[in-house]
Parts: sequence; C-alpha cells; structure tokens
Amino acid sequence: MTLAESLPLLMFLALGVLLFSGLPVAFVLGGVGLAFAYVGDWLGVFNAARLVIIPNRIFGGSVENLVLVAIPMFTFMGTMLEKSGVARDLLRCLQLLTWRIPGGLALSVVLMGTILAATTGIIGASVVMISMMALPVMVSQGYDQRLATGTIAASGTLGILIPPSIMLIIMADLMTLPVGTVFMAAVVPGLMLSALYLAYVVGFSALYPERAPPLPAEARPDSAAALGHLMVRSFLPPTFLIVLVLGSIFAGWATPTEASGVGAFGATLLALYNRSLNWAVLKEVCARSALTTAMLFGIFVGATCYAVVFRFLGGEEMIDNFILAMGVGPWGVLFVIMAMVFILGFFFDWIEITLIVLPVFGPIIANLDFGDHVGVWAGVDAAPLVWFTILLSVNLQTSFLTPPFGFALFYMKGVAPPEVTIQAIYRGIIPFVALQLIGLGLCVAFPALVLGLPSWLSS
Amino acid sequence: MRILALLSRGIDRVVLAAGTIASLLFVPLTLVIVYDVIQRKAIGYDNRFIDTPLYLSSTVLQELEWHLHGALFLLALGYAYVKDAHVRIELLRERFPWRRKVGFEAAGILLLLLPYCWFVINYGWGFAERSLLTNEGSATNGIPSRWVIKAFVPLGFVLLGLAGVSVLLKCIVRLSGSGENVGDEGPLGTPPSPSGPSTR
Repeated sequence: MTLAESLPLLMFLALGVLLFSGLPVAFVLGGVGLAFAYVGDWLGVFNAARLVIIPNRIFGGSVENLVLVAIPMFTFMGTMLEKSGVARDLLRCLQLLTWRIPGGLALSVVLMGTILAATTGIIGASVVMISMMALPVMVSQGYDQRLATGTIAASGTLGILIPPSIMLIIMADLMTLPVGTVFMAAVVPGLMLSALYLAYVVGFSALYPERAPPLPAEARPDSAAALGHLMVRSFLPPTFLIVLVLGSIFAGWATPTEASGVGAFGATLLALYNRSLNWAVLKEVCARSALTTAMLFGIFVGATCYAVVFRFLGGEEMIDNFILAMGVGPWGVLFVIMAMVFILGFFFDWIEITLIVLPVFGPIIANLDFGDHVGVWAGVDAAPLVWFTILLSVNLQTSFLTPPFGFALFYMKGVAPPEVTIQAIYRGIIPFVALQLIGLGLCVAFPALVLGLPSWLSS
Repeated sequence: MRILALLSRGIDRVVLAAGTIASLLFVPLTLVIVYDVIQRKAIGYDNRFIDTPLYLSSTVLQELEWHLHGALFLLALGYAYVKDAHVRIELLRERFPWRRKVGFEAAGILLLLLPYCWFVINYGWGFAERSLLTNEGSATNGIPSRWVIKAFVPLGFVLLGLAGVSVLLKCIVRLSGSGENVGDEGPLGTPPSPSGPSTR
C-alpha cells in the first residue's frame, strides 16, 4: 500500500491518538480533517480546491436544517424542567406509593427515570436530578450502594433512548430517516429496558431484603386524600408534557421541531406555575442550554469537515473493501459493528461514536440484506435502517455506564454524597450493562419489538 | 505578561458577550415556533385571521426558526470554548502534569484550532460573499438576503478563533510562570499552587 492509499487509515489513527490528548473533540475532528486534506493535496491524490464545498456542507447540514432545530429546543426543555421542581414532586410521590415494598426506593427511581425520559431528550438533567434527590435517601436508608448507584445511572440514561431524544434526532438526520418513525421505534425497546431494570430490582430485593429495605413507618403517607392530592399534582405536569410533545408527534399532528418548541414553552410555563422561574433562572437555563448546543454542533461541524475529507481520500471504499474482505455476511458485519460500538463506548460518548461511526458505516448498513428476518413493515420505509438505528441506540446506552468513560458516572460522581465510593459506582453498573446487552439481544432477535409500533401507529 | 493577560481578558469579554446574546435567542426561537404552531394548528388558517396583520407567513417563520438556531449555535462556539464546555476525552488528560496539559492545549490551538478557524473563515467568507453577489434569496418566498445568515458561519469561527487566541495567551502566561492571574475558569482549570511542586 502506498502512502497515498493509506491516507484514510492514517487519518483514522491520527484522530484516535489526538482525541486522547484531551483536546476538544470538535477541534480535533476539524483540524485533522483539514490537515489530511492538505497532505493529500501535497501527495497529489486530492485537489485542496475541492474543500470549497465545506462551508456549504456546514451550512446545509447544521444550519439550514429545520429538523435539527429540535435539538436546541429539547435541550432547553430538559434544562428548564430540571429547574421547574417537577421532578422533586414526582419522586416524592413515587416514594410514598412504594414505601411498603422492599426495594421501593429503587423501583421509584426506575419509574421516575422512565417518566423523565419521556419528557426530556438529554441525560445529564435526569441523572443529576435523580442522583441529587434519591441517592442520599437511599444511602441513609441502608441501601446497598451498588444497587443504588447502578439503578440511578441506568434509569437516568434512559433519557436519551426513550423519545424525545436528541440522539435519535441526530441519528435520523444522518441516516435520512423520518424522526417521527425513529422516535416511535425507540418506545418499546426503551420501555423494555425499564421493565428489565424493574424486574432486576424486584428480584434483588426479594433475595437480599436487608440490602434494599422499605422505608420506616414514619415515612408513610398521612392519608389517602393527601396522597391522592400529591399524585395529581406530581403526575399531571409530566403527563401534560408527554401528551403535548410525544402525543402530537405520534398522532402526526406536529413535526418533532414544532413539538420541541411547544414542549420548551410548556416546560417554561410549568416552571412559572411552580414559581421557580425568574429572570436570573431564565438566563441561566439559556446559558447552559447554549453551551450544550454549541458543544453538540461544534462536534457536528467538525465531523462534517472530517467526513468530507475522509470520503475524498477514498476512506469509504477502503472500509467497504475491508468489510467485503472479511467475508462474514450481513450478520457478521452487524456483530462486528455492534461489538465495536460497545468497546468504543468504554472510551467515548454517544456523540463521538454516532458522528464518526454512523456516516462511515451508514452506507454499508444500507446495503446489508437481512431478508425475512427484518421483513417488510407496512408504513415503515427503510425498515432495516430503522432497526439498525435502534440497535445502535440501545447499544449506546452502555456507553454512558461503562468506565472509565461514562457520561452518567461522571454526572453522578459530581453530585453523589461523599460516602459513595467510585468502586461502588463501577461495580453497581455491571448488572445494568448486562441487562442492556440482554435488551440489545432481544431487539436483534425480535425486530417486531422495534418495528411493530411504528407500523401499527402509521396504519 | 501583564499585557497578554489583559488582552486575553478583553477578548473573553467580547466572546462572552456574543455567547450571552446567542443564548438569549432561545426565547425568540421558542416564541416563533409556538406562534407558528398556534396560527396553523389552533387557528387553522381561518380567513378572518389571515386578513389581519397578525398573520405571518409560515414559510417566513420556519425559515426564521433555522436562522435563529444557526445564529445561536454559531455565535456560541467560542463562548463554549472559553467556558470549557466542548467535550474532551479526559482519560489521560486528567492525569497529565499541569505543564503538559497547558502545553498540549497551546499546541492544539496553534496546530489544529487556529488553522481550522482560518480555513472556515476564509472559505466561509467567499461562501457568504457569493450569496451576496448573486443576490441569493429564499427559494420559497421566505426570508430574503440569504447572505446574512451565511455570514454567521465565518463570524462564528471568528469568535471561536478569538476564543482560541485568548486561551493561547493564557497558556503563555501560565507557562511563563509570572504568576499573573488569568482566572481559573475555562480550559486550563485552576493554576498550580505556587508552593507546590511544579510538576503537578
């Protein structure tokens, strides 16, 4: 292989090495992309004048793209919801409802993670909120630290799988799939993971009741009427938001972008109603949402530069040939990609994996033939691609939990009480990563879990 | 060193101001989407409404949505760097001695970030200029003068480049050991304590 032919490979290696230097991912992607463009120009395999299309790609891909407007809006909505006090009421209510059951606190954490997931599209907010509110209580009640931390990290992470989700929006955009269909396809796998977590907590508490004790008698609700009142007050706001956002998307009444704007507005009204909104809070929510948005789109733009150059240098052909040369068939390719994503998840976050892996492997996946296994689903275009996208997003749930680099662990470490050790957190996530892999296996084996709902809803 | 620290602080002020303005665009963005949804879905193109000046073309509103979104994230790129919000792979970096950390940051700015910014500013300028010269408008009777939003691409990278220069100046001040205060927010974190060993 000549130097010119191995440029895409070197480009990939350079990216890997430089990412570990700890420089911002967005700059490394953009800088490495351009550096290799000029190396290619110098070697005569590529004319750098072709780079003139890059601003056009940045503009067309990230700016003039009405679908992606949903990303800042859902980020804003999640950040606002964190400030609105809705989560506090909800957790209190769930704890009262489950106070007598062993493992009740852990069950309420899973339920809360699931409900919050259906109202926000980001995970930071859910993990931080649940860790701050539930972890100290669980620790002081004598919960096993591993159960407590694992449950919270896994449940909070559901936020990015259960729609609305900024990750699903980005994936849909990259795979040119309708966001609404991808949202619908993620509902059952998301709820299934949540059910697996609940089953695990119930099983664990039955086996080791002393490690997941019920709340003491003084924590029980004052009266049925008071509990009823609290239930209405705490369940109404999230239900309102879920109907407003997901309901209007699934009914085909609003586009995801419209729903995201209305949801952001709804979350602001809720904060206003709970008297937790003032000018300073609004400014802070705006500032934090803008930082997250800039971070996401910084990587988006950098990945655009990288991908354009990678393609120009023949990187896609190289990967195509490599996969062909492996001769493992569609199932082998799927397995290799899934294993690779799982391993990358130990070191990278969903955003780098999605934006680097998906553009490169998307065309290959589109050409894989799973025949009757995925089948034809009425009302779902490109069913195999939708299925693959959801497999990828279920798989990426592990990337939040696997050390040394899991976003959820990071957020949790920041707000956990001092007696919670990092070892407890690392060991706590093991059963949940196993459950996520079981969930992934089920989605692989039974595509109906993924494709059934979108097909049913659109018919 | 004093001058460099002051210069860095001055640049930060510009970048932070742009970022704050950008972040407040969330408010009009939300309102524009809600307004558009209400007039189309709730009022449903009622003729009595369409004839009033309150009716705004949905095409214009939807184009305004992505205009605001684009301006928002582009103007906030530099802001996010000054606030150290851009994601990094911290695995090795958190164990680096501070000199290496600061040195890597400076090298990264010089070799990756600034060339990248220069490139996007240079080509992005031509991109916006062509739009202005051809008097490019909306393809669907939306917002005219497409060059305005296109110019935000190079503008955003000017701000990102400025943020890079500011952090670079801070790196130089830190490495010079002059003890000049360049703040402990941002990508370089807290300065090494003067009494401690200089390797950590």
